Amino acid sequence: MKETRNRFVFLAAVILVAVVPLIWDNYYFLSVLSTTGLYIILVTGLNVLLGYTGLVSLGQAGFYAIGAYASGILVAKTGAPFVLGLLLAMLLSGVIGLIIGLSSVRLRGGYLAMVTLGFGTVVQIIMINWDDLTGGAEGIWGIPPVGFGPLKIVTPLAWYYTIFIIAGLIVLLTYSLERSRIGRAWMALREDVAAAQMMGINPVHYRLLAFVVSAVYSGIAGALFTHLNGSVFPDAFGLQTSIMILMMLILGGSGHILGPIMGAAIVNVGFEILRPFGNYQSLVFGFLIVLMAVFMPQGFMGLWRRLAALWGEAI
Amino acid sequence: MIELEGVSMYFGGIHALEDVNLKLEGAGIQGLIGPNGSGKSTLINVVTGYYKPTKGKVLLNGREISGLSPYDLVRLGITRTFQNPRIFNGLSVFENVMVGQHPLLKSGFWASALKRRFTRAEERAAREEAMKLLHLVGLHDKAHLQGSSLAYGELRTLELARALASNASVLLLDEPAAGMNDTETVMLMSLVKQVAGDRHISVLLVEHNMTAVMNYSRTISVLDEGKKIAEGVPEEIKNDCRVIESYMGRRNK
Repeated sequence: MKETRNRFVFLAAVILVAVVPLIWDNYYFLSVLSTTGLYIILVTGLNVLLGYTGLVSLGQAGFYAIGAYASGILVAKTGAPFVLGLLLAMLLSGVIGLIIGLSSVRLRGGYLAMVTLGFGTVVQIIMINWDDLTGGAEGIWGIPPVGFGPLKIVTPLAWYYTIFIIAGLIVLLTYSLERSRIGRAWMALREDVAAAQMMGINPVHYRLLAFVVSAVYSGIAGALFTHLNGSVFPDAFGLQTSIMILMMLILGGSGHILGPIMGAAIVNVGFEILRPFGNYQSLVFGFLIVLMAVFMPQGFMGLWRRLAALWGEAI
Repeated sequence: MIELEGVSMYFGGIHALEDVNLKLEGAGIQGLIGPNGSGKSTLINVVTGYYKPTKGKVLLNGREISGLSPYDLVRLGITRTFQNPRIFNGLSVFENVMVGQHPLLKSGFWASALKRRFTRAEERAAREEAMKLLHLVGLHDKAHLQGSSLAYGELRTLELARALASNASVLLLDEPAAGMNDTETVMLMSLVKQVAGDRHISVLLVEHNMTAVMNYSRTISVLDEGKKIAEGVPEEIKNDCRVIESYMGRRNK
């Protein structure tokens, strides 16, 4: 029953994503939605780590940056095709994810938060200071349009669809993992490490896997970011980006496949809806987030579950 | 068959186990008793790989297994329950038993992510097996409840179902009847006895409830201050003066 309901939700989401830009073909609106798509990928990545496996990371922007720069530099300097840029982004962020993940062998909680926080900061500092490769504080601009062979992705609409197809595939892949032996092992580790070990789960193995998956997702989002903008610059990958990703996960509902989608949509689209508040936009938004944190501690999916339970009792 | 050969476990100056020899073999329940702090839980932790013994060896069918991790040992057929039930609270009762089958399932990362035909068949079989086990312990009605919503006695039966899910041939139960009333204890112990026979499992039962140990164990070993002081059938143990002394103290002469 739960599976049927989730299938229905996915189908509805696909139709919504496909139809919305046809109704609102507005350049600005499409760019907000495309950014939302990137965040769905990023927050899903953190969900694998924090939501399923119970490992906190304040350095997701670091993996995001590595993917963005890897693809941007490769394409800008060698004219390599998009697919190669994307592959390099995945490979490099995955390898760095594995290395950072090694710290989770001994550290957890606040200590792991410190390590990942430091990692994110170090990556940004490297991007700013390695002038020859990264273009320093200004970054790299005017990266030529990319695509698949002769088919270039140029219009905002084409980017919107590209990002959402990739985000959709990542969400589906993650959903399969969540409901598999792998996802169960991650969640068992989150709940009780000693008991999980007696179930044949090697904690190091599965924690590293979660880190690599999370980093590769972020790397993919990074490559998409770079080519969507035709540029890459260090400002986009600061601590506030990592915090934003964490906030979206908590608001949407950590540990639930739809949590990242809800979180990314609420924060990105919700912020735009508050635009009429002008100078007070951020203030009102911040206030609403405090309210949500107080009244929906389990995020949007928690609220959804409580409502569904009430509805179930009513009938 | 599990054999402990001269196993000692020291924590700094504390000798939790001192030169213990113990054999666990054949289908059925073998009791392990002793006063608090006599080393029973330490022994379980040594056999299941949570501690590496300071001295001596643990053998499984003649092969040395001391030093292996719990996640390796369960694949060789050794599993346990915990003194305080360690259920995965955020998962459903059903999912808890599914996790228990982890060492038997073979789907790796890509097979799971892409839901290959093999994985789907494997998952289907695993779900059926999980429901079968929940029927066996009588928790099938609660399969979709959160682990955290079970009563204390139910947590223990769930832990038993989850342990059985690994198809282990050696099962170590660390005070399974603690906190249970007499009716619950009888039900749990008959269940353990039945599955031990049906599935040909060697059960090591660590328990403070003497009635349960005496009624359900074929043989009983007694630990005191880390040393094995007696071994035999329940009748012998009941009348062994060393055992009585270790529990009641020495009579003043």
